[in-house]
Amino acid sequence: MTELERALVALGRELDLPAAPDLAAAVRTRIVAPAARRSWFSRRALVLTAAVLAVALAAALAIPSARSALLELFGLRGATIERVERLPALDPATGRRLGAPVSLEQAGEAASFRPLVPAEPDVHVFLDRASPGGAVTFRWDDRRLLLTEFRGESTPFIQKSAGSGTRIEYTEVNGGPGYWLAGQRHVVVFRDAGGDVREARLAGNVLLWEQGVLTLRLEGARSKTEALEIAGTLRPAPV
Amino acid sequence: MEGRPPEEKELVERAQRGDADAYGQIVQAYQGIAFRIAYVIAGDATDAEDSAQEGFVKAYRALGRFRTDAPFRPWLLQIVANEARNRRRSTGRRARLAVRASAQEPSGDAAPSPEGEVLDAERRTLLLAEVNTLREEERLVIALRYFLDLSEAETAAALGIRVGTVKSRLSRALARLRERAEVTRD
Repeated sequence: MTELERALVALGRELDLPAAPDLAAAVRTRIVAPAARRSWFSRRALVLTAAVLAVALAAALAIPSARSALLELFGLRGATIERVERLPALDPATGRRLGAPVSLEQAGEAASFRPLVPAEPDVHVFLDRASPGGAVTFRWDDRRLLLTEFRGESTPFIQKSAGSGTRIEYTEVNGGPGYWLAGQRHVVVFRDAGGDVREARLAGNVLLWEQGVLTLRLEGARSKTEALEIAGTLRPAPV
Repeated sequence: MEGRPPEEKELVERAQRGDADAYGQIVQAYQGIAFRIAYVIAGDATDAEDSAQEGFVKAYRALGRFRTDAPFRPWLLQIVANEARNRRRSTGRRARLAVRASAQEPSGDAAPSPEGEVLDAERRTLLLAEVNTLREEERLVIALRYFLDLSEAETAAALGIRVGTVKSRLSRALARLRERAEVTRD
């Protein structure tokens, strides 16, 4: 070690660093707390949550985005919803990316699944090939509603972070598990197959659910009732 | 600086099986260094506490992926440091390190350490001022490697860079500090 290096080590011992707080109690509370919350989880949701927890946290650790204390974590196949103290900061560069405009036939051929089509006749279809297995988005003509469908794999494609002003409500949709998010807008992050962020932005009311092999996300409904009605109209694309 | 907790491997294995008490002992052992790393990176005591707490919780939940034959400390510190980096990015803040007030006066009762002889109070303050004006990436390697006494490998893990990059940044930073010391003396 040179004289300068020794001087730096000595300087380190004289630094005015704040005293380290005792974290053991707070950490313990948080790592044992999930057991106490189980009563209001449905069994199905609990199983799903457990299944995605490891993956979601693995992904969370790898995300170079700002995030605050993770308070709760909900999950569906290919999607996670986390309750946080503070919303992550958004990079304005990552705007909305629906993918390329395609016909319904093209979407059905290119995606790794058969899309579920809304009854609304005036919808525009987009295909995002960078998403794992491909993602198909329907945008209503008035641009108010967006429905995104993808094959729900274990890797979270959609990650939502919600602050205390957002309600997160478990709800069954067409017989599958789902969540309704309403109130204050939340942050939604879409990832590509490599795990990189493709899109990160604020989103309003969202219904997120599993149906068959698909995970679906409907954004922009005025109410949970309207969202569930639209979900009820979905039919498999003609072969 | 904390010592290695007794039977760390055993504690980690117990924690992997869901033993919260065992994990509590791990937290006790490493919370000091975890907090200081987070403070140096995030630049704020509250953010540092949040980062350290979040890091410990995330590490616990990721324990299943940790191989117990690997050293635990760098793995844990990397998770905490990552939390702290995320917070710093969101606020754009940078820690202004300062020398303890008591350290600026020569202490009467304690025997002078060899380092203490090398570095008197005035030079300490000057040196710190120089470190504080380094580019952030250089300031961080200096702070983690020397101030917090992390190994090069731990510094690399904490900053998410390669050991080779730590070495080159350190040598650049040291050269810059030497240059400035020359200028100050003239």
